[in-house]
Amino acid sequence: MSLHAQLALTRGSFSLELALDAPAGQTVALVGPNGSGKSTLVEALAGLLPIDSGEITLDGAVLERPGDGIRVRPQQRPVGVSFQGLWLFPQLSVRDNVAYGPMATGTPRQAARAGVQELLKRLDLVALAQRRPAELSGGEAQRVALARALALRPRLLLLDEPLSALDIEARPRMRALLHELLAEFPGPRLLITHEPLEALLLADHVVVLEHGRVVQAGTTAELRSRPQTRYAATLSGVNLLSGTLEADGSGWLLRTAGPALRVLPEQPTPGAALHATVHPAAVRLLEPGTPAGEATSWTTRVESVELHDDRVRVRLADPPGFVAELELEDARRFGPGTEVRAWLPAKALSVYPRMVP
Amino acid sequence: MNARWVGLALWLAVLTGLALLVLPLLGLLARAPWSETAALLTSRTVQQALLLSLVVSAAAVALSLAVGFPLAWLVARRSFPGRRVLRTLLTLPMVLPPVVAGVALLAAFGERGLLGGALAAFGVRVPFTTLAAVLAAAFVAAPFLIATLEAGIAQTERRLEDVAATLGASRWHAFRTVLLPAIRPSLLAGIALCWARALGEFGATITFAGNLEGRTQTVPLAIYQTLQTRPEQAFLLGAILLLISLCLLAGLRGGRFAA
Repeated sequence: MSLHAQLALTRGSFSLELALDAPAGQTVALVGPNGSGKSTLVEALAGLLPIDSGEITLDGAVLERPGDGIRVRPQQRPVGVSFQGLWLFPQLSVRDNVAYGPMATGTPRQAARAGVQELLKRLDLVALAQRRPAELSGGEAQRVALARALALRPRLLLLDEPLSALDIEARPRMRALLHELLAEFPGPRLLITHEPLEALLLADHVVVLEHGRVVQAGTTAELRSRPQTRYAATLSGVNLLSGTLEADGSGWLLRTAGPALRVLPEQPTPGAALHATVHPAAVRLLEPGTPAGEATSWTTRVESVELHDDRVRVRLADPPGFVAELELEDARRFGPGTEVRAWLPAKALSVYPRMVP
Repeated sequence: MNARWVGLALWLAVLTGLALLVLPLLGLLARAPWSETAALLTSRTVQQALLLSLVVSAAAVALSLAVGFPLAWLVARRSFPGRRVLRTLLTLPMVLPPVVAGVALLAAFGERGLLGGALAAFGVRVPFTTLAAVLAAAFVAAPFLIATLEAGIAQTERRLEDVAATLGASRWHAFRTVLLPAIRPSLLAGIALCWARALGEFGATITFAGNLEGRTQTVPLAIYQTLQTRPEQAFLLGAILLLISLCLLAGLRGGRFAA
């Protein structure tokens, strides 16, 4: 009872090549920057885009295996899809949008309309049943798209950016509803998102896709503690530096493209390729020339200063994208261009093996 | 320049435009001897021409729909080498002088035409038949339908058909329930334009199908012939054709013309 996909496809200059397993009863979040191939994967799994090689199986049944000439058409796949942008049928009422699947597959009109009543109730759409999509709010339209995708009782659920049509204020409620719906759905469900919070809150597993390849897969906890790429690190809001380990007197030094970091590896091997993460709040910014003692420290400039609630995020010029988070009163003296000395205690750096070359 | 003069020039342009476009129609309606309507409509020649016009234009629209829908879909939805060339070819008859269209049709289906010989072998002679009148009307009128439909299909998001497919809808079901409702306005406008053009077709018809009473003489051809002998009747027949075209446009565009 699971989705198994191992596929390759090329579309113009873009290629998607990945293996993905989603067990029944679990939510797998697929995250990645724009253009990483998330929506292409949705199209491939739904059968809208043929794969070049590999196979897609659902509950052991082959949906597609080009090697053997097997390709189940989208109409025959038990896959429910909520597309990014929703794409409700504009000329149909809410009820008829939801009943579209049953009607298209042979259920008589009246029976189909009656048959979706439970679903409309579950998604709180009964009062809106006669409305047209143009008369709905973003959240309402999203609920219709979900109901429509569920109406044929699919065995795999694909949700592409289910919260993107919503205002920021409307998201928490929808996220809670989504959480319930996902839990009720017995089969595997795939949630595509570029919002880290969404992935961490709704999913059991997270797969990070970049340039059409899986760069990291694991539980949300693993992803948070050991991100493998810069993008994955931004999901949990930490700074990621990578380098090679070398001995330095009694301690260890991680040589990166930027500063050399004093680290405390658990099982040190000289020459090992490691990642190091540090939470922005653990970074201190000092006057240039302040003695650093045993900690890592380097001199650079402030690139930008942003306010986040009562904290201040100071972005440094070197290494690019490196962020320090300060209390409001500590940040007063920093502006773009200020020369500073960044200071990190070895204990604040978490080091682990690098898996992605 | 003075704003007043600009205003005046604009008004002058508007009035000239109205005179150019509307005055001839008003003149036609004014000069038509309406009292002779009953007599005219009982004339066998006129009855035949009216019936033929209706049959030929309807057949031309049907033919245009049958071949135009797939072509419009192809050009709007598929990318293939030569797509732009095909699109230009499909709109070419719009700008072609109708008499050239008639000559071209002769060159294709005439006795010594590209296809004429092969057709003759099966005993089929196209030129100077009712079928030729239908082909001539379809040749000049179909581009109006194709161009309008193509724009309508291109405007309809393909994603909606993808959604329908994931919901188990066959291509035909998706076509009926998703694409057709979305392009309904384009379809009706296209049919109206196509029909009006087919109804008014003259040059290609007289060249390719001739002016044979009861076989290829449609109303425009009858008007042309009557004009040489009984001009007053030609005015009346012209006025009647004008009213028929008007009803057709108004009917198919769902009252948008009346509003």
